[in-house]
Formats: sequence, C-alpha cells, structure tokens
Amino acid sequence: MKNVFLVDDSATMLMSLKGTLEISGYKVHTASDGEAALGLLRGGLKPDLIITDINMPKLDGIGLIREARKLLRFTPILALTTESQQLKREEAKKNGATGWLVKPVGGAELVKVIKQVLPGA
Amino acid sequence: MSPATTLPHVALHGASRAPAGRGTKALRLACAALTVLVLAGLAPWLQAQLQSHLAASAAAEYAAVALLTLGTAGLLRSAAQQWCHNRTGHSQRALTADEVQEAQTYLEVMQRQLGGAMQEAEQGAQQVIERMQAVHQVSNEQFERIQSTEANGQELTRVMKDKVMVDAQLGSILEMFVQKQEADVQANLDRIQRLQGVKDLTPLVEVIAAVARQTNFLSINAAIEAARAGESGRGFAVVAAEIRALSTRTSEVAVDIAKKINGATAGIDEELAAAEDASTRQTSSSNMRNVLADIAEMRDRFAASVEGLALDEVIHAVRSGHQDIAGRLADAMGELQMQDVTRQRIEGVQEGLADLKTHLQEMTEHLRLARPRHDGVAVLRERLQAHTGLYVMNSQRLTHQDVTGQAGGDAPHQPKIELF
Repeated sequence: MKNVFLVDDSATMLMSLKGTLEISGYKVHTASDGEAALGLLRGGLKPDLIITDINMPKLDGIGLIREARKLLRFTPILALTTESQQLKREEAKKNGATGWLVKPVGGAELVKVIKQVLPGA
Repeated sequence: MSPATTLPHVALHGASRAPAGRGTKALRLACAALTVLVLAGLAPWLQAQLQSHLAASAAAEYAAVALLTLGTAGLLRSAAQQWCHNRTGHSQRALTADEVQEAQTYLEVMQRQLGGAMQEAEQGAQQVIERMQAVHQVSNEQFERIQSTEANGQELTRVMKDKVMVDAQLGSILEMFVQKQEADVQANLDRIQRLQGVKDLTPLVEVIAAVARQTNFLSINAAIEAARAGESGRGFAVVAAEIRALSTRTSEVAVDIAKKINGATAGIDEELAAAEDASTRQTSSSNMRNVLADIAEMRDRFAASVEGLALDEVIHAVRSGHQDIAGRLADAMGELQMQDVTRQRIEGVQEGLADLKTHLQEMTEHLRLARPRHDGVAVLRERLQAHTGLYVMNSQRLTHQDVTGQAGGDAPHQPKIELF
C-alpha cells in the first residue's frame, strides 16, 4: 500500500482528500501547514507521494516543496491549489514540484494522476 | 454603480431623514424670525424716510429709497441665510458622520454573519465527509464478509466438485462391475449351452452298443463255425470267445457311458435352466443398474447445483458493485474540495468588508473634523482593485471586470492539471 502525505491548512480539504485516497486504497498522513509537514519529514516520514496546498501559514507550499526536495530527491510532489495561485506554478516547478493541480479535482481524476506519477500504485 | 459613487449618495440620502429634517426646519424657522426682527427694526427708519421724503418727494427719490430699502433687506436676508446655511451644513456633516459610523456596525454584523455561515458550511461539509466515510466503512465490512464467504464458498465448491468426480468414478466402477457380472452370467450360460453338446454323444454310444451287439453275433457265429471245424478250429474258437467277451464288455461300457451321459445331460439341463432363468430375470444386475441410474441422476443434479451456485459470478458482481460505490464516494469527496474554494472566496469577501469598514471609519473622521477629503473616491477604488489579489477563481475576476470595467487581475489560462 502506497503512502501519500497530504498538506493543507483547511481541515475540510484534508478530510475530503484523505477520504478520497483511503477509499482508493492509499495510506494517508496529514499535516496542516508547511512547517508541521517539514517536521514530520525531518522526523523520518518517507511518503511515496506528497500533495501540498500552496497558500498556507508558517511555511507555504513553495517553501515546503523546496525543503522537502532536499530530503527526498525522487519523491513526487504535487501542488493542489486554487486558480488564484496560478502565477506560482513556475515557481513550484523550479523548486522541484512534479505537477500542478487546480482545486477541485474529482476523486477518479486525482487517482489517475497519482497512478501516473506513482507507477504500480 | 461603483461603491465610490454609492457612498456619498447614501450619506446624502441619510441626511434627509426625519431627525435631520426636523433640525433643518427649526433652523429655518429661526432664520425667518431673525429676518422678521431685522425688518421690524428697520421699519421706523423706513417710515421716517418715507415721511420725510414723501411730501417733497420725487418719484426718483422714492424709487431710490425703495431700492435702498429692498437692497438692505436683501443683504440682511442673505447674511441671515448664510448663517443658517453654515449651521445646517455643520449639522448635516455630524449626522452623516453618525450614519457612516453606524454603517460600520452594519458591515461588522454582515462580516460576522458571513464568518458564521462559512464556519457552519465547513462543519456541514466535514459531517458529509464523515458520513461518506461511514458509508464506505459499512460497504467495506460487508465486502470483507463476502470475501470471507467467498473463501468458504470456494472450498465448498471444491468439495462438491470433488464429490461429483468421486461419484462419477464410483458410477463407472459400478457400471464396469455390472457389465462384468452380466458378461459372466452370459459366459456361464454359453458354457453350459456348449456342455449340452454331450447329448450328441448318445447316438455314438448307440453305435458302440450296436457294434458290440453285431460283434457278439459275429463271435457267436465264429464259435459255431469253430466248433464245426473241430480240432482245427479250436484256436479260432478261443479267438471267438475273446471277441464275444470283448463285445460283452463293450456293450456294458456303452450302457455305462450312456447312463453317465444321460446323468450329465440332466445336470447340464438343470444348470442351463437355472442360468437361463437368472439371465432372463437378471435380478441383481437390474438392481445394480437401478442404483447406478439413481447415482447418475443424483450426480447430475449435484453437478447442476454446483454450477448453479455460480459463487464466483456473484462475488465478482458484489466486488464490482463495491468498487463502484467506492469510486462514487471518492469522486463525491473530491467535489467537496469546492467547499475550500468557496471558503477562500468568502474570506476574500470578509476582507473586502473589513476594507470598506476602514474606509468608512476614515470618512467618519473627515466628516467630524469638517476636513474635506479629495482622494476618497480614488482610495476606495484602489482598495477595491487591491482586492483582486484575493480572488481564487477566474469567475471572480470576470465579475470584477464586469462591474468596475477594470481588469480583475492577471489570470493566465493554464491547464487544470499539469505534470512537469
């Protein structure tokens, strides 16, 4: 079972994504901001995939992508955010994001993308 | 209409409300009274002027005095009106300032109402997700039970299939056994029938007996002829006696053989009758065949039951249904991400209301200090434009553009999903 790490400051988002992914057969870890997420990664969490929001308190998604990439060179990182953050797409890419998704992404669509970045998942 | 143009309108509209109207009316009455008093004070002087000039008046003088009088009255009225106007303006500004301040309370209430609605919507969405997860949990448990049944069912199917196979093998063995038994019965019958060939020996015995009798006759004749021959036929008489003894013995043996053949034939006939009876009735094999037929029928029904169970198909259908439910739930949960987008939109509106409140506060201060603000409209427009930075959807930008005529922020069209 593949491990997916979800990072978002919205409890509803975390619940909805966690539910979607657990139903689809993934094990899910969550964090409510970039700093907490980085703490878990530094603590030894080694997810197969990270899905992060961009606009978050303490440490935003771009910062998390940059720092997480230093710890996990090959782990796919997807940014899942709103249309308003479109201008940060290139910045996310430069910092090591694997892909960019605009909310809302349906369950089937999300699983399809995950299967693309995690072959065999 | 933009907020910049709306607010002054609201303020002026407020100034014409009942309390402001009462104040203005009182001031107007005071001004009118003052004018009357001034005019009343001027009246004696005017009368004197008229009386002193009326007698020797010339029309020009009268007209000049009249003009002077009217001009003075006009000036006085104008001064009184200006004083009243200043008093009225001051009061209107104070009233407008009060009203603008009250509008801030109004905004605060609306802002908090929005916050409450958003919080309730969040809780509602989370409850929906929890319910969905519960539904999935139930579906999952049911599927696990079915999977457990699947394992048991597969074992049962395997046992039943083995049983059907064993029954088939048993049937084959019994069939072979019955066939063998039937073949044995037939073989016995055939052998017994072949033994009946012993009866064919009876005529041969008759022939032997006849030959023995003829030989006896010949020996008797030979003995007679030997006796006639006298001494020379003595030897021949011995031979004739031997031949006679031999024929007698042959006759005895033939009789004995005939008896034995008859005895054997009788036994064979009895055996044959019994064998034929068994073969005809075939009681045991018939029973066996009935058993075999029953077994075969039972086996066929059993096999049909095993096929009819079709557990694999049922479980496959259940699995497919479960996966369909899971997929739909996952999709529905994904759609709830829209709640987050809506939350961000509402937060943006709240921030907008907070901006407007700040602006109204500033307006209140300006009104109270009677300090005109010339950049108010521009500041308000800037604030509204700055709000575009909070937009989360292109539709918000389009709405902004529709209302203000200004671009709602740079939102390049990019794919919703992009893998780098």
